Amino acid sequence: MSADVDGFSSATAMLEALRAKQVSAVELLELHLDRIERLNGPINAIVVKDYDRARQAAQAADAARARGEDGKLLGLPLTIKDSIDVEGLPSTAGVSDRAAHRAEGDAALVARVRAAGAVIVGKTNIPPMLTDWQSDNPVYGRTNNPWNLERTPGGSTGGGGAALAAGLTPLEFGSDIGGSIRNPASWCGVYGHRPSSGVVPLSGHFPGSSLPNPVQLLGVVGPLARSADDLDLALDVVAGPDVGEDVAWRLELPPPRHTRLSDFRVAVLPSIPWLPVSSEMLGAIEQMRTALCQAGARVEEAQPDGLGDLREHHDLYLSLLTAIVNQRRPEESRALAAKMREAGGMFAEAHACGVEATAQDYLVWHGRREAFRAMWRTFFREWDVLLAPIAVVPAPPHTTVPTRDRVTDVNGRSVSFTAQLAFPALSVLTGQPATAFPVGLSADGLPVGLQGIGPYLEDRTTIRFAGLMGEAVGGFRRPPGYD
Amino acid sequence: MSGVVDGFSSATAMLRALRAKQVSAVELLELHLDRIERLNGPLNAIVIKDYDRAREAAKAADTARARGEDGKLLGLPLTIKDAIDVKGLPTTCGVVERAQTYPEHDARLVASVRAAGAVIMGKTNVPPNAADWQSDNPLFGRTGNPWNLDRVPGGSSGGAAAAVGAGLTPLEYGSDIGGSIRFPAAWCGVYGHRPSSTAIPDSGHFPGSPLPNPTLQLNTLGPIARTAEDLALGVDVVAGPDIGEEVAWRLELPAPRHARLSDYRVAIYPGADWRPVSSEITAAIEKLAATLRKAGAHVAEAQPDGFGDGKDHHEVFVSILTTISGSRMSPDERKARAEALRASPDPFGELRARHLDARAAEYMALHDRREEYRARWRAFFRDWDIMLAPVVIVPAPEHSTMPPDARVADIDGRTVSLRLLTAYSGLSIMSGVPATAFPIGMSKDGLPISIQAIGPYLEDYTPIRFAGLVGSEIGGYQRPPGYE
Repeated sequence: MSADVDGFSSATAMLEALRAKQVSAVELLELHLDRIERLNGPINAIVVKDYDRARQAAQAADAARARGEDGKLLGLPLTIKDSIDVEGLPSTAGVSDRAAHRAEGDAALVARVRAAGAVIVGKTNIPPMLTDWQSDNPVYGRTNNPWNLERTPGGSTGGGGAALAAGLTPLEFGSDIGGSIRNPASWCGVYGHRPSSGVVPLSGHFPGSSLPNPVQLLGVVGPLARSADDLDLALDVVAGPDVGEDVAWRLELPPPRHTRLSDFRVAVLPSIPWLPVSSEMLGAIEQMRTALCQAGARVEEAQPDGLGDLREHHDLYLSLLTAIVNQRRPEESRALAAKMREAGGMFAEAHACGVEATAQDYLVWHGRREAFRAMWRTFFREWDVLLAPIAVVPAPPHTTVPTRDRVTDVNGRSVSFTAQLAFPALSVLTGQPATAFPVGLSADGLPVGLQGIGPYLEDRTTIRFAGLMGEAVGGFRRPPGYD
Repeated sequence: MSGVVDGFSSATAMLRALRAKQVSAVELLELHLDRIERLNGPLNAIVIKDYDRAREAAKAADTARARGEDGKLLGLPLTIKDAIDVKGLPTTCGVVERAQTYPEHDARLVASVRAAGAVIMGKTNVPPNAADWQSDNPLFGRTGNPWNLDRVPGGSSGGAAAAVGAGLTPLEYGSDIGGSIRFPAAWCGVYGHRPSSTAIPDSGHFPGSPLPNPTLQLNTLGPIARTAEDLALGVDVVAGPDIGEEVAWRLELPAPRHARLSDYRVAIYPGADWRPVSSEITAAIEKLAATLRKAGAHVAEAQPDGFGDGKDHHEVFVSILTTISGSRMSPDERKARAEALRASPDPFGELRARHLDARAAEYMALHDRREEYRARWRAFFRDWDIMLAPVVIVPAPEHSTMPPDARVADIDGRTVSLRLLTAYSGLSIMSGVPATAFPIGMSKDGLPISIQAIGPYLEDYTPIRFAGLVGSEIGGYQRPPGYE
């Protein structure tokens, strides 16, 4: 086979090679299967392998191409996060009770990926119930960061982030209700896009159901990749109305606002008093500022009016999130809320309120959510992108301490691990698109990433911005030892 | 002015006359203002009048037309339900404390109507908080039915349907969370369309807020008119994404499935003992079914799989509806309401009382159930184009001073809670499928008898066209006596 592509090529480059017949889908698949067999063991990123069906799909893709057909992903191998239904494969959510579960059908997203001609290689690892920024569970064990096996790849799309960084897959679809696409993207040094809410169908994601649920608005599914162009391509394939809405609703995501970095108006999130970030993150932001200034872009510290110290915004997010994730165990709510209040902490009350939420609370909170959405709409008339951290530190060492009790050392200050949820939550509450992109490496040789948050439904603006920043500051780097 | 149009012409005919310059917008407005001044008094349908601004808008429409411009509603006078925000007018929703509540902005729907060139004449009466199927409130008083002033026009868009029925306005926008477009349309003998749940922006409605709230899926805004064609026009002007969504979402409602009655596959909703319907109405439906068969349509009793006797569906529906209404009450109000519900003749009173205090988790789970029903409707409408069902269970009842929960109807000797009206309106509300109410005859007491055509989600033009074709076959809107 041709040397035009290797395991670290972008999905776009692989598709170009497929179209130019420099490589066949079967060859491209075998290249990846060989890499998975050689390199996946120690990182344990891909935990469900579907080689037989993948080989059939690759052969079918080659046959289709030989007939002159094409498809946006025709012949491209890729992986899917455990929590997204792929017919016949497990969706375990990383819990033993679901180990034997097999999905009866494809999630709406997976159906689109297949229809575009993709070759699904397997599924990637996650934490139990997707509720951690590590990816360790009793069904499949622990995923490690390809940059340093002692470090976590992040979560919950941790297997996905690790597999991309290690060159085991060129494209992954994950999900994000609390940073679960962007956190592993940043800790593994790849790109990840959290789409605007409602843009990519969520039906067929667990937790969740095979049907849509219009009153649950926080969770989304979206792509991770090694280039911003790949995110754009992936979004193009899967974006569109959910089951039943396609009768009349059409989605036409507008083009990016600008095509040159110099034209972007970039707000930098002011520091948050209660949430210090490490010198590595501050350094990355400074590096970005410099690059943007050099490019001639407008860069200033700014945030939506009324965001204040972010407490109210984050309280609301946490209450909604907690109401949604505890939906299926209302009988335990009273005890759980008491436990949360007893444990204390800055956001204990917000969590407890979420657990105890009445329908009235829930509807009123969504009224407040709309007020915040209006605030963001106004903000993005003046700005194109809000640049913000995703995490307070680069990938931390693995830990068995429960998330709630975890602390992180930030410049000598002890910070609650979960407090940093405020950064990804910035875009989750109101459904803004946000693209994570790699900025560089820390002194310890770990990836440092940031996110560009954009105007609702203008996903292509943050993706393009991430791509332009990648060109300016380096983009994806290969971790050593995965050639 | 020319005799080509009168107060009972359809909106489409009025627009045709405007385009043909057979009538000016100012003339057409004055025709309506004159009728309102002469006929609205005893009816009390239009309760907020905005004549000055309407006259300015009509003049502006004539000027625009003179410049060669056009618009889908350019120069057409119309009215808006007093639950929908119109800048410069109060949104009282029949509540004394809201008499001076002026919205900051037009509702998105009103903005679309204005942008299409319409002339807003005023606002129509509702019950307090739009929460009744008669339209009587302490602020503006009681609206009568143009067919019989002793009867209710229905509600909550009661002023709307009465005004359309009496020829005081050719087009009206109302709202429907429990039947509030279709009940009054049915009882006043006019056409009313409850749209698919996401098709028309519902921001700027009270109860509700000026901003959208996607966790509230039941309320919709939609048109009331004297012909099905006018409903299609009324939908066309305002359908589309709500605030903020227009950045990327476009709505392209598909054309009606069929243009001839003979091509329609028409299911008739089976009856069930717990939700009786007056024999006058069931006889009218049977007669219509026979007419449809004669016209060549495929007609049979059928309903989506899993509906059974419809009780489970109704339970999910009233649970969601009551949860929403409970969310707008204070704890004391909820307590009082729960007591009233438990004491009421509504067989679902206990279930509803419980849901006034529902938890967020229950609300989310109810929407999972709702999606299961939506999937059933999707499957059903692969085999069928329309489901015909009663829209009301009796012709327009007499005004009542009893609270809604306590009201009953005599249905062929059986005493039935009038709350069971929602067993039929809720059929389409819960799953967000479109439903068009239209007249099919008159009762022996001289009151309109109507039916609803329920259609596939987002295929609003299918039940509207069907209603129009039926109207052509058996006669549609009739003028109530005494409103010439």
